[in-house]
Amino acid sequence: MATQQKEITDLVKRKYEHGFVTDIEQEFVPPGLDEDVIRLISQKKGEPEFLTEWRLKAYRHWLTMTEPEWAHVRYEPIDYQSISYYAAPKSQENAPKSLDEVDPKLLETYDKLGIPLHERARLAGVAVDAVFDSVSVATTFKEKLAEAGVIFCSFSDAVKSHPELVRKYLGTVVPYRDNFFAALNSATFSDGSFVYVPKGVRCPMELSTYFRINAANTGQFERTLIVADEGSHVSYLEGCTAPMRDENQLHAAVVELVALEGAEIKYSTVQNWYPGDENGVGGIYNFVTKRGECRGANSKISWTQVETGSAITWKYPSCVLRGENSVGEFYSVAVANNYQQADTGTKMLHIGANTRSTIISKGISAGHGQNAYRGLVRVLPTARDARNYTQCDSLLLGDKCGAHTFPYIESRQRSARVEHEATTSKISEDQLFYCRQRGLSEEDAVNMIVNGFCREVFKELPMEFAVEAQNLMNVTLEGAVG
Amino acid sequence: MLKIENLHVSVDERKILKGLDLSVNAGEVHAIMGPNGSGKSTLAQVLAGKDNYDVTRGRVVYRGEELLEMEPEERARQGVFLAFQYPTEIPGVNNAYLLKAAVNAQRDANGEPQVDAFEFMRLIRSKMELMNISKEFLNRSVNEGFSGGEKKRNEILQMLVLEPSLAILDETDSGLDVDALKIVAAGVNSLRSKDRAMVLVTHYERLLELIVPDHVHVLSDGRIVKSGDRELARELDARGYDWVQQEAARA
Amino acid sequence: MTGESSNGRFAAGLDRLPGSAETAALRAAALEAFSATGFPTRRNEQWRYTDLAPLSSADLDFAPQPPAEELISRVAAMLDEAGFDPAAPRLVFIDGGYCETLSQTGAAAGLSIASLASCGAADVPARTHAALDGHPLATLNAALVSDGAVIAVDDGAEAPEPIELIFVAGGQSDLAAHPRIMIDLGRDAELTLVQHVLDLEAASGWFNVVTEIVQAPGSTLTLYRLQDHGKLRFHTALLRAELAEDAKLACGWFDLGGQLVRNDFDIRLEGSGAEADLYGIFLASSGQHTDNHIRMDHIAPRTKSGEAFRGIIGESGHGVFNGKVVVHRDAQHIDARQSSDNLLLADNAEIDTKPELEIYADDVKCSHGATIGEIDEEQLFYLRARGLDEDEARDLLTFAFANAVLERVELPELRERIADRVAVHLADGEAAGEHP
Repeated sequence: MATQQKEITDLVKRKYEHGFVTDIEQEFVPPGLDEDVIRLISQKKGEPEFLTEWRLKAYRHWLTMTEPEWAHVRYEPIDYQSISYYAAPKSQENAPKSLDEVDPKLLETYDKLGIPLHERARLAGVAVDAVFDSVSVATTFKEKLAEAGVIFCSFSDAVKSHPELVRKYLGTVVPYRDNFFAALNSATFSDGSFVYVPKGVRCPMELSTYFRINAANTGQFERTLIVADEGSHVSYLEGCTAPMRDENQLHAAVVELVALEGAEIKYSTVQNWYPGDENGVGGIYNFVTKRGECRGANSKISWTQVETGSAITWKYPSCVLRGENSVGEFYSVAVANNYQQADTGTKMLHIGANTRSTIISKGISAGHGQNAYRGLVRVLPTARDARNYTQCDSLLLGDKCGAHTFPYIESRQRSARVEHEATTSKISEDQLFYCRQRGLSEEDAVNMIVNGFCREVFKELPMEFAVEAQNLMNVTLEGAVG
Repeated sequence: MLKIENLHVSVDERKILKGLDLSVNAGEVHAIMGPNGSGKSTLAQVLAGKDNYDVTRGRVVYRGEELLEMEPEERARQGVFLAFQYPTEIPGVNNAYLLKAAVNAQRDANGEPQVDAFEFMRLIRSKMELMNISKEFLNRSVNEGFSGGEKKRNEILQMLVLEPSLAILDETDSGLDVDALKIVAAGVNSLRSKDRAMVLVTHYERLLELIVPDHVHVLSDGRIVKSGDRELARELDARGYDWVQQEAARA
Repeated sequence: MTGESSNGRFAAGLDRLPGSAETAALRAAALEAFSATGFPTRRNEQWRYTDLAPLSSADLDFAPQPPAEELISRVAAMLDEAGFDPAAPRLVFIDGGYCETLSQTGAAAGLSIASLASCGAADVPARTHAALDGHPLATLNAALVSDGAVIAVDDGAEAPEPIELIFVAGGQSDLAAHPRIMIDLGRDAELTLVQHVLDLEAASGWFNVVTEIVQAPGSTLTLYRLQDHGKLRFHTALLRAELAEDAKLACGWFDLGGQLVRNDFDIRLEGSGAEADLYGIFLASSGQHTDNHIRMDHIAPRTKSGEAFRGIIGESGHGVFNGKVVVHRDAQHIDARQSSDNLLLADNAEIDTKPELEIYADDVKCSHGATIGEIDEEQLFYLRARGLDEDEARDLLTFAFANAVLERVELPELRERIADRVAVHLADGEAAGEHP
């Protein structure tokens, strides 16, 4: 099918839309990593001693670790000494008190990204915490949240204003020893978001963070910690973009979620880091550790991710289902186009009795992209009557890409029930023909079918994100199909 | 409107159509009948532009243009509609969404403005009633989990909304009970007009009692071997296909 | 265990194995290759769920003696009692060594059956793939192989009846046998082969079998294996098959016994139209560990594969299924299906399943499914409502779960034999469960 092939090619060639560099002064720590750099980062942020010590312990442990090689991804070795571990916009020296004080150039950046901070905030009632490179720039709607008792601020602010909460929960879900990238993050993280929702509070609005890597040769190592106290509820969205650059940039974030008894956390991600060009040059290495713990009974953590960007994605948002009757969910759409590589999935650890998990994963491969689902469902002997359902489907657009499925399913509890289904196929010729017979162009038909394929996941996103995700998908796959 | 000349079509080296000629004028309804394997569905699919058929010889002229040169969506936008024998399921794609996209693709091609959601609903309401299709039905995924009858009624609904110049109905009667058949026939008949042509591909005569054709053709072994009026269809129903095939063999 | 010491351990047996100086050199080379890695550990992803420590630390005799007359007559009596037909074409091996007295090789036209040693004992290892990359235990087999079976079917020939390969462990403790089976099917040839593996008496020891299959275009091979060891035996096996155009391979694998069982399949669909269908049942209880590990390579277009394994895991049993389908670049029009269904019948039982797909072509239909659970409560209730008591109902449903696979065995007598043995083992497993 030559015409189809051509259209796939056209779709794939669609350019990255968010590639621009913001020209503002930045303050760097010179490239390289040693204990002095870590002390410097900690000092610049005015951190208490416990945190400095924690960073140093993480660093020392990191030195003993080797980079993981088990993922189905290939890349040149990273020189960790050539990365600058701290980059802050200069104007941070006099931190803005409100949006009006934010550097207008920054606001312009967000506008270009399609995140009109003011408007989005006002119209949609979304509180936005925007992280520019590593430092949180502006947080809106703090007052309204404060009324409800919700703490939503940058991680650095939380360290200053609520050190006891940070100390109590930091590293309790993802310990610094967890893995190579988590250890690196623990040693070097510069900022991120912090959320605390008190007992019984339903967070009055969606919380949202936008991340953007701007400066060259910097890594972004943000750290997010969300704690939902007993009976509370919070929905958190994150979006990510980065400018086009020829060299690869490292993003090694850690996200920790804690849901206490009866609490519910919904965490949605639309990840659109720069994926590199159509020849695989440049792009972000997105090596992220995300894990939530349903610590209390009847709690729930739900991950939804739409991963269209990054040169390499290495990411397994997971749920530790410790509390009885707790629920874990993972809904994912991952796209690997051009030379993108994605190795992503989840882990569901069933510890408590009657815990339930659902995994819905939709992988789309196009161009020379390699897309792997890697998932672990582990039922421990204590997880009486646990249930898991996994559905993972892969769609292939073109004959140079790859789609892989690596599920690990382990059960040590007889009353548990685990079901896993997976399919891999190319886009159906019959479906394409049917749509075209009704007058749709091949590209529109493909977009429609691919979006249909992803619908189970998109419907889990908050409305405005769902639309964005759908558009992003069409842009990402433009030219990919036919 | 449609002129097929000496059409030869193969699938995987196997010859299916072997020199088929057919001429259809505006305002006419043609029925193409024939035993299983005679090439009826192949003809329907080739006219709509399905690409795993090799046209080895012949041409098809539609409203003065070479139909076989056009992409499937171009044909659709120029008014060629195929009601599929086995409508495809498209999980996750809303039935109404597809139909609206189809309407807008056609309008776009004709330089007409797009319809919005309200206009669209207005456009299809009476047609849905005619086809006995409920609103919930529109919100389900395309053909997914539809019964055989629902799929066929959905095809006709799409046809009513898109108002094609040339409608090709491939075994639209198969798998329908009497009531559903009547609904489908009413839908088709409502669309008959002097500037529209229809080609009904069918195995049985019963559809032709409800949608009365102007011409009836018998397709056998890749060729039209006999043509006549509706009486021919009745005769086929009474006597089967063997006699026509024998007659053709003698000729 | 380090390479040094394991090397020394095997070297002790090496000089008692058959073969010329040249053969001895081949054995030594294979042993060296094995010693470079030693026994795989769980750090190796391919061995993630199977720990060979009990095997690598066992004190075993790697060069079993030929069976004595007395042992042969005991084996003969056991086989008769178990209802094996002494007149059927069969090769019988005792402790890995060929037993001519009990074998029947009167071959039909176009069919050759022989023991590996009789084809030239001196060059046994030379006739085999000296080392099979990535399979350390097969490499060890290349070093220590003493005998086995060679079966060849000529172009266009068809074996008139199924051939039986019977491997009996003779009761002497701590023997390690390394048999090798070589099957060569000519163009359009057909063969059915049934492998029985059983113990004369429950004793510890190790069977490490390598089966090499080469199928010419259009050939059809149907293989069955009933592994019915006592519960002290280690059993590891690698089956490697290369299929040319339109060749068909079916394997029905039934693992009931053994303490630690690991079956590796390495199937290569090299010719267009080739098909492989692997299915099986494995039972594990009372400390048994059974691991089925499949790699299915779709190298040529229009190839088809099926994998369907069912595990029934009882008291302190551990079952593993790891199936990997790899569709190579440009191998279009592929149909591959995997299923792994498992019943967990006891509290301290464990099942690990890992059905993997690695796909580099786009015109494919690949799917897999895995389920783990206990007996369906509603089915149980239904049967009880029809008057069966709970135990009866459970037994019936457990057996029904296995029976869905058993039905695929096309030889009625064999099917019955396996069904009987499955029932016996299930009853044993349950008994163990009742008295922890």
